[in-house]
Amino acid sequence: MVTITVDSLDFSYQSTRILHGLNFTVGEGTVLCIVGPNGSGKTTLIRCLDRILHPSGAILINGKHIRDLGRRELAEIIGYVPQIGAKIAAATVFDVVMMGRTPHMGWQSRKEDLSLVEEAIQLLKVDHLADREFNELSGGQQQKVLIARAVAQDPRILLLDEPTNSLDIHHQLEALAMIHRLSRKTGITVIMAVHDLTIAARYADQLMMLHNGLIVGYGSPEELITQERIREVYRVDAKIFRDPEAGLIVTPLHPIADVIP
Amino acid sequence: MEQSRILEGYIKRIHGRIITLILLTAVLLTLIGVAATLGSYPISVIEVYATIFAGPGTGTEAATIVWDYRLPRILMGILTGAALGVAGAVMQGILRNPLASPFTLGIASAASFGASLAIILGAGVVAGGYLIAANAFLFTLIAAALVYGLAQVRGITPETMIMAGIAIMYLFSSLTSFLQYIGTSEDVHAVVFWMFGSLGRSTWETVTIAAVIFLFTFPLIIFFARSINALAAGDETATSLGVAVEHVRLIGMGGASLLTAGVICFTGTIGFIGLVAPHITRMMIGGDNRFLIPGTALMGAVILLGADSIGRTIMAPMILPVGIMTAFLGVPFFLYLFLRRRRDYW
Repeated sequence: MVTITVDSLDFSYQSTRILHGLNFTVGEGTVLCIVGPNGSGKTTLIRCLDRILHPSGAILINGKHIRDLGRRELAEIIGYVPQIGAKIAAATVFDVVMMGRTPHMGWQSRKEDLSLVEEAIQLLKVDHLADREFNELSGGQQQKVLIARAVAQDPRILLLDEPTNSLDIHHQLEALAMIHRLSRKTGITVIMAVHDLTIAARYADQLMMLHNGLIVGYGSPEELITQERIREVYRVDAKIFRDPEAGLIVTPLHPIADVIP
Repeated sequence: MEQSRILEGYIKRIHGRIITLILLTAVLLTLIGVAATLGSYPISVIEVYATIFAGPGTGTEAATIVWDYRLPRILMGILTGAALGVAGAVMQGILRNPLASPFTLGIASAASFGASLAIILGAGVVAGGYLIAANAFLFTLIAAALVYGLAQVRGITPETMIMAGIAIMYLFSSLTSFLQYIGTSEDVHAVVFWMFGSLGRSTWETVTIAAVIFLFTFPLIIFFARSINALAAGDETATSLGVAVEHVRLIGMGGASLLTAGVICFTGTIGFIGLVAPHITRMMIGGDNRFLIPGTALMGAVILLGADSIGRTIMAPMILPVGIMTAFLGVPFFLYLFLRRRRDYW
């Protein structure tokens, strides 16, 4: 079980500052959704958390600085689902999900590795695709395979960068419900960047709203999602409904014209 | 029941790969027997195997012909095909580029320059019989270091390494052209002949040196097969899967260069094996480098030994240099694969 503590996290691409001194803590077994407009720093933050990028400040997992962990050690703890787009040459779906076992296994795959790969494939309902070439799949299918790879990695923390972008509404709900169940069942901490506020509100225990590299809100969906905040951050007028079954529903109405100074 | 179906498919593929490797080994062993019958001294395939199993130094005429003349050439052919094939497979893997090979990354043209330097100017690091080979070897490694060093300035990515490789290729090509321009016609002829690539210069000594380099490098590369697999998904993903990406790329590039240098310094530049053998093998057994790398070694050996055997017989008694033959065989085959390859294979 793990707790993540982020302290004064700063990141710049050359001279452009992307993240400005972020501080937050994510408790064990929490599903945290990061929301915010394009360019607010969601993807950058996720990459920093997996040490793909090297920010200043501290990222602590159970009090231990991730800088002090070996690359492989970190991969045993953190699984990362990138946005789709990259091709993977001459690899079947099974091969791609098997890659998730890389930090755990040696040259030869053990029985345990094979059964975790199998479970992940079943969990994401891509078993009928197992023998297919990854590159031949649709975007949505590829997205599920990449999630399955991270699940097979059997991490304590799961990072997902807009994991449902290419999925239709049926598969969106299916994938997110699966991730949510996985977190409840195994106690893994999930941090994902999500665009859709309704979806984020529905599956998140906690929401974090980023705007221009700053945290403008952190808390439960109920606290965080307000018309004022959406107006301020997204520059959109929106209506917010509360439905006993669906929870919070955010319906964007129209963009607010930018005031040109 | 569904559970076993997924694993069944995977295990079936693994078995298919192992069977392919065994078949390729059988083809190679057969080819050795056939290749050893080729030449002016008549000897049957069965006699060849009997002579090989009897060992060297039995004093018979057949033993002298097979052991002293034909086996060094055959073994050098196998080593060269295997080394260039593996080098190509590794470069394509670590650079995620289907066109990567010792040729396209400038390593082979650097070897030509090193050899030209020795042939035309007589300049080199060691004197005597190994002047040309030592120069070719040295310049191959210099080119690899230059490619790596240049790429490092901008950060080691597949793109930067390929850009640096292409620049290095042109640099050494024009340096070689310059040497040819100032050289005498006999020297130029010797350089051109070296650049054709030939197994005719093979001796037990050169075979031993090439074999030692191969046997040292191959296990090192195969050890990183899983990491190279993960690199196929991109640097970021490989990093997040615990792979030390730059480290693997350095070892892969170093190993591929060493393999290339270890053979082409003796044979001259031999094209297309490094590019085509990995592709043929990948189409047959898939992209898992644990099987692809040994498979490519066998495939490269089969193609090269086959090309040399054809080159020795097609216009006999004239022997066509193997470098010419591999390109003759390689180009149509490459185009055939290119035109009919499965969609999205790469």
